[in-house]
Amino acid sequence: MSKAFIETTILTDYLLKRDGSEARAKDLIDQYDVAVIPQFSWKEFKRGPLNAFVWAHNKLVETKSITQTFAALQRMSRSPKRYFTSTAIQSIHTAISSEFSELTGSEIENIYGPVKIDEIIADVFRVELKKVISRSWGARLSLFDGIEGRLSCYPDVELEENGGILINKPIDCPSSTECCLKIFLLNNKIKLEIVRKSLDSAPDKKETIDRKAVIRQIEKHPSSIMTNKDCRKFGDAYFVLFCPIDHEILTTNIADIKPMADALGVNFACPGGDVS
Amino acid sequence: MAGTGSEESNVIKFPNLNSGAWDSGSVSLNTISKGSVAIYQSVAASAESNLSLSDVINANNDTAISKLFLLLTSIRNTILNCISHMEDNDLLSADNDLMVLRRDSIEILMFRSVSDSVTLLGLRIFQALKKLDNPVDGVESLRAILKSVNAMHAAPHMDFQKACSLADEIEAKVGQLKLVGYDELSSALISFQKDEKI
Repeated sequence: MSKAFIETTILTDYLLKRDGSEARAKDLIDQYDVAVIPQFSWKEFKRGPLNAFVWAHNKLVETKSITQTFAALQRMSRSPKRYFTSTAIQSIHTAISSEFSELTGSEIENIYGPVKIDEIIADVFRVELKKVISRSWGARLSLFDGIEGRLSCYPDVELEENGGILINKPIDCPSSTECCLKIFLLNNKIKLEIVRKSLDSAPDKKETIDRKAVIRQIEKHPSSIMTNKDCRKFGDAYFVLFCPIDHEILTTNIADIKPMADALGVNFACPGGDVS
Repeated sequence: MAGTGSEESNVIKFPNLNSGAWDSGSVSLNTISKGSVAIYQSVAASAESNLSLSDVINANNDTAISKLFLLLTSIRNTILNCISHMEDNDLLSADNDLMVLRRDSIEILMFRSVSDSVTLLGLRIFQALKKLDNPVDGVESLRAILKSVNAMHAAPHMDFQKACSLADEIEAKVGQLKLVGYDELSSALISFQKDEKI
């Protein structure tokens, strides 16, 4: 019997994408007899991609404008990457407006008064995001037989809505709580060391360096508290260390997972099957 | 768009609420505001006098829900006509109905202030009818749309999750309905949180 251990990137594609990535994720998952989504994936999903979607929803409530929402995302970027150029924002706006061009006719305005097309576009995007957000977070209770690998320190709570604003809190464990994964890690120091050493061949980036430092800290200072920042940095290491022995990790993040998984002899797969 | 007044399809055929005509939507008079009842009476009169929907809407400065109710009544009747034409294999008449529906359905978005459920279902119905550009084999899709129209009519403030389920039912019949720009926004949001994470 084949069993899949679903990592956050596949979960994100499956639940949030509509560009074909979701179908590729589904095709991959369907190849397995059993699919398991650990709560750690849900935790990362809520803290990362879902939180970004909630931000966009709330920004649409505030600005009532899709172009201002796109622009706000661009302004917040600390990386040199451009998510949207002004031209791209304008072309998206034009394309969306043309979808609703029937609303700008004089006959509609005769009945309903002036049509604020920007507000309509913002509203339809907002409810689309609200649907995706509420459905995807709600799915954790039932998708592939529900949550596995429960984290006793993580408060699993529903999203709330207050005055039209979605509240996505908490996204982390209580800061005073010791990480429930710690005991397993301390009991498997050899595996931990193998993973740490494998990071030498992982992509040379801040994420890798941070992950290595957290693992080092757990090894050298086992009694120190693992903070929420540490948990975020630990990230992908969870999946290779906690993947059950007869399962395969499903991920699109091959670059980060492969060195660690190869070192521990954990199988993994990605949509399209290219894991080189 | 409902309301130009020149076509027969814009003339409201007032349903007899006590006859079970709204079965699938479980409508009862208890769910309708007093203002809506007044509008109902106007609509009933208009059906006899061939007044257009816009004539009635303009003549009644009533609540948004009352006006939404009128619009949904019109859309519902056109859907029923369209289904009937499809089942009779009268494809030209069915396609005419689809054109009217495409024009009318976008007006639901003018009632976004009523509830997010109305906004979501209005969007899905509009998208579905745009995609449904051929009357052949459209009956099941129209039945799914009709179910949403009836549900909005019965409970415009319905729970959002209920509206999501109805929207999914429409998509299940019509195929994926995606907002232009969704891919760009979702990709940017997912990339952003990856790039900016600690």
